[in-house]
Amino acid sequence: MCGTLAPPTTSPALHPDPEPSTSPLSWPRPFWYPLLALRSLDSDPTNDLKLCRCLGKSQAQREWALGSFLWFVWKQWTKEIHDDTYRFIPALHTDALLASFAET
Amino acid sequence: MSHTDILACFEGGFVLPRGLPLRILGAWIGSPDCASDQWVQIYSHIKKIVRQWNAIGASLLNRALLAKALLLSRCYYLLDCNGIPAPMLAKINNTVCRFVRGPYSHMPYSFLSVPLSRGRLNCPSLRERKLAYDAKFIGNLISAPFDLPWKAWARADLSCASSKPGKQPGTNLNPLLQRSVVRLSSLEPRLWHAYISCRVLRYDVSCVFPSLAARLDMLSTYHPAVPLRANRFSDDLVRHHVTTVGHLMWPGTKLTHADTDPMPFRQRGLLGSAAKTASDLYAHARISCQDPASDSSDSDPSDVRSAPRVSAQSLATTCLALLKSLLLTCWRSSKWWPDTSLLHSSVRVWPAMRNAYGCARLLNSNQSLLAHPDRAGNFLANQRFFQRYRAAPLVSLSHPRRVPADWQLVWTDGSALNNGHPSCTAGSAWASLCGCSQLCRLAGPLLSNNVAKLCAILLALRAWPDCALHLHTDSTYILGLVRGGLLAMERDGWLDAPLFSSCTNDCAALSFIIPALGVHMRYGAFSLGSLKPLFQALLFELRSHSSRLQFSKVTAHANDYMNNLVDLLAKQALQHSSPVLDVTGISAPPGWVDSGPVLNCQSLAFLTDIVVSSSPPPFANPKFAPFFSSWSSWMALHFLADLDPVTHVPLLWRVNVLVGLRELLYKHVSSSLPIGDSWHSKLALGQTCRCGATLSLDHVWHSCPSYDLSRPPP
Repeated sequence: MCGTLAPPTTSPALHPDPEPSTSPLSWPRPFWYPLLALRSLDSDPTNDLKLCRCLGKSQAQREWALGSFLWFVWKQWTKEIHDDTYRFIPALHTDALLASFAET
Repeated sequence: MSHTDILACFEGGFVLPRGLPLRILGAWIGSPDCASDQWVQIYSHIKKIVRQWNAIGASLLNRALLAKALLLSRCYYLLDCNGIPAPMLAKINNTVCRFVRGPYSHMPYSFLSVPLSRGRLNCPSLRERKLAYDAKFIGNLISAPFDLPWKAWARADLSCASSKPGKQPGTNLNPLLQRSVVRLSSLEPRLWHAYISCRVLRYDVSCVFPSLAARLDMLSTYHPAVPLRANRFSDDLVRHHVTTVGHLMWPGTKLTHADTDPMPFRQRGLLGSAAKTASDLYAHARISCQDPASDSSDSDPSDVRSAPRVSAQSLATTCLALLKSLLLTCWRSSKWWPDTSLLHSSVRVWPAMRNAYGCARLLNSNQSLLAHPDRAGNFLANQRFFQRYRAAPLVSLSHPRRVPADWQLVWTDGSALNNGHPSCTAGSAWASLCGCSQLCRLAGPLLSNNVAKLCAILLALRAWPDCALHLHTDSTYILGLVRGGLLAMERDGWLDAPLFSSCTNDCAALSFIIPALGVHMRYGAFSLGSLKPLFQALLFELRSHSSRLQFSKVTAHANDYMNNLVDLLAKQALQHSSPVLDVTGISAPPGWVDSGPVLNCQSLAFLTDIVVSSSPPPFANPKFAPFFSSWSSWMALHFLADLDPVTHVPLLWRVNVLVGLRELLYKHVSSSLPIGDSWHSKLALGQTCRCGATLSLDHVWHSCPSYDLSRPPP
């Protein structure tokens, strides 16, 4: 989820921002919008075929990672609303978030 | 006949007392009341299943699956056999819809019933399925074979319940082919349900297929195209056996044989005569319309002597009035009266069905036999709805532009590499004995060997539009199409047109231009395509060919010089830079081919789709507008991509995320998420976030600093 690509890649799916990054957290918000069109973006005719192949193979994992993050935050928010004693501090739940990524 | 008489004829037989209901294969005959108990049982069982699954819990997709597999499927058999009482339909439908939609959701159920490819769950409600079943019932009723017992019984039931407009019951008409009034209370339950559904759907049974025999087979009295005032003397017509339009067009002969059975005349020479062609019949009818006296001059004086003269003249006047009314309406034949005399007997391009029922189809026009004219709907704007056969262009096939004395002998062939694969490349070629030839490389996503051979025929027909043409092909498939296969496809609404896979990936609405081919390709819009336009174009070329036409089969690879030559040319079209023919751009001009769907022979799935499609499209709802606008502009701004949200939002159901997140995003897209304004508002943090901002899904995910993962712990 974290990390940046040094040079600008040829795929618009990877650089929605002037600063290319594979991390949706660094994308302009709302960053979940590309979730509906990852395949279309990856299949852009201007893309290199090799890059398209790599993106196609990793598409499911990228969707899962982005979805897991969204679902994790949503669940924590819901729990916080219904439980007055619970307080969601994101930095304390990094392990739980990473574990949710692994539930592919 | 008493019970004893029956036993004398059939040992062990049993005669049902009058009024006693009969149950056959689970369907009650003659009494809907006995089925109502079964509906109560079904309803209670559905409620029990709903309670169980509500306690277990299921996602939206699973609830739709459960509704189709466990709930709605229990209703279909009895629904198709007996119909369903309206109160019970409302109860079951509401229970199932509430279960599928789930609690706390206020979106209309019509949003969920649209197919998955168009953004919803493909879970039609019981009410929509009932309409589809009823449409299927009527479709079966007007489809061949017509002599099945249940069809004869249903038509007799309809006839007994119908009467002339403005008159007392008692005169039986056929409401599927005539203007009539139907007393719904007299219909049997199943037919009653189907009839009511047809009214709701604004279906209009009408015979519009361009078949001369079928038009002539339509009943002359209370014809749907004739005003009611023109039917004042219908009793006289029936008395003189002028019962069909065909009898109207030949009134002189009928008048001379008023007391005989009309059927022998039809068989002997009126409608099916080889000596009297279609053009002759029509020409005679037109002359009759212009000059009433011409009828008496055509008929045999000896026959006229045997009929009462005054009655004959009166009847002829009535017939002419009816004929004029017919010619002034859409049923007129002056625009298009095809002459097939120039075609070879093996080439069939015009339909020849004699039974009007076989040509009946359902329309949505105001000229309705079943529907109330004052009932408005969205059906007129629905392109998938059953269409009327459009008027053909003005063309005279009997007077070709140029008919050379000699036949042109043309050989055609096609060749394909990687046949059956998406990477298939194909070429077509034809060559004639006079030294002319043409070859083309085909472009498009639907190529195959048969398509290449079909395109070769198309090219030859286009190259020789006015010549007497003798086409040779080694394809049995093409010959089957020419000798009736195309007509069968047209009759059945092109259901038999083979499908092909038009895209190899799921990328949606990506369109680009291949510069080398000069072809504009569009991938991903539909997962399946059809060769329908290609077949329709072939039928158009056959019909519009203004000279003689004949097909012959040659044996492939049998040392036929010309066949080997065109085979070589087709392969050259593959390997060398040849002119490109874009197969996706081939289509028939309007009016020549009946391309609209028909009710006959349609599947229940198609009819359900038609019923569901008659409701407004879900994305037309203004609830989607804010998200669509935001999403499109965001994608254009950050990805420089012009993507269609209507195409991409349905892909949400295929995204590899948790099912719960799919539902959440879906509700957010449709502005149906009850966040901040429903039950959450009763809680402390339900309406306003800790940071003081108004609560929304985007705020929780993107804007709230409390949920920023990159923020260090306090």
